[in-house]
Amino acid sequence: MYQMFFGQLGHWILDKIRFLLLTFSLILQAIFQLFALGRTPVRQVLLRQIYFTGLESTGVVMVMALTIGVVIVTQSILLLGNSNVTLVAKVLCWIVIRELGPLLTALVVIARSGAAIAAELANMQVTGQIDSLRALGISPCAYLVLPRLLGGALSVFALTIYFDASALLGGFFAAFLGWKLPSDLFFQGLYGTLTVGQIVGGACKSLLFGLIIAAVACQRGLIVERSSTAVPRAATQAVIYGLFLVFVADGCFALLFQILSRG
Amino acid sequence: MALTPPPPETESAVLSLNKLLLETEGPGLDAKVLAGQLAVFVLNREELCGEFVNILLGLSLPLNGTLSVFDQHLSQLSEKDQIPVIQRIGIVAARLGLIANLNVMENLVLAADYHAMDDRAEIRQRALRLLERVGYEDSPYGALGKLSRAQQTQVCLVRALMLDPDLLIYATLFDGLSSRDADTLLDKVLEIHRYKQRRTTIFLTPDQKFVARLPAETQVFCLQSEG
Repeated sequence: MYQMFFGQLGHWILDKIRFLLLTFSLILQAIFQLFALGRTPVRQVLLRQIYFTGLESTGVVMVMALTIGVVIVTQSILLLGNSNVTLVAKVLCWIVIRELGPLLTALVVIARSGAAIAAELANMQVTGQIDSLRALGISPCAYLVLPRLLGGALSVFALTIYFDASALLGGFFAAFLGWKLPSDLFFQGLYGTLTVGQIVGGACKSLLFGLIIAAVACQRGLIVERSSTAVPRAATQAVIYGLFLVFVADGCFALLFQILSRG
Repeated sequence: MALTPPPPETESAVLSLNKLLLETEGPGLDAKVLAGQLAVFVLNREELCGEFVNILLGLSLPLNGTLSVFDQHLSQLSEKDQIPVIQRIGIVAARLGLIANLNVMENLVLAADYHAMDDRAEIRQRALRLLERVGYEDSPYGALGKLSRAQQTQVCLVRALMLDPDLLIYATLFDGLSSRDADTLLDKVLEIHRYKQRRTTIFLTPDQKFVARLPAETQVFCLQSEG
């Protein structure tokens, strides 16, 4: 019984380590191919990726962020009372910029683009399109992986900025229009909390999350076998593994911020 | 001063098989296809044609023996060193491998644009000329999904021709085509073979009857196990 449990646990751990190594090696391979950005077709794929991952998700992310801003401010006022406007603004800023902005944007991108990238690449693998690229002397890593990694990272970064701005705006509207709180105190709270370190931290997180999501999706898409169930399985795995890695990375960032703030 | 005669032109092997074995059964095959020749390899099954192409491109290894193209074993070269050799090879396979999210023209110019072979406008002009030459009559900017199998094969053929290869390989070329389309395509393929001097053309097929449709000078190699 114990033997079976530990056997399965060992398999699970080894499987995750293998997956991490494969994803990391894919990112490294793509970095070594950075010079390929000088080629027109690679840039075209990059722009297309930014359009699909970034631009097409903007609406969803902004509506979600506005709602989150309203919810955070409303819950904070219910908890703290409407006399402590500065603290309400601080809570909003703290939660959105440091945590929810990068994380929720990453979740939207995993659901929309992570699955789509994995399904697209898996389909290309199954139908021999990737082999045909090789037969044309085109490196699949340079043409398919690199622009998706860069496009994913830049898109999550830009979407996080939109998310943060929309959430703060939603919070402000809820406080100012809904709860009739003084706007000067609200802004005072925001300015008091918003530091360069926080903004840079949030930006680094979002870039890394974007890179992770795209790398996991590419890795899952490229390793498929030639079977009819391979494509949907790759899409599902891209979502699950993407979520897993993003949450692990988020935890690592929280620890890192704690260590840095102590130092 | 006496003129020394020029050295005799050596017959360079475009493709060399040395005891090549694709399946566990059967003997390995020794074969040599020289520049400018027309050759056909008859294989046991359709999948073996794809496997043969993969071995040729260095994407997989044979069970035994070696296969070299332009005196190079692609599996032993780095990705960077493979490119000049691969650029001399054009492949038209049964699984056409056209990039589904690109339109016809984007598919055709992809490799030439990627390798920055020429001016972009010139590359597009060349693609249009080649489309006309293979008898393609639909829109050059149309989506691939709207094309018939015969038209997709024409597009794939033009894509292979875009880099003006010295070696053209057709793997189970007529799969899914009507006999009329297949005959028209074969005529075009033979015309393309004759068009460039010393261009080598190799057919891979599991169909023994196909050999009868090829010109008499075609070299025939059999990789089929007996029985």
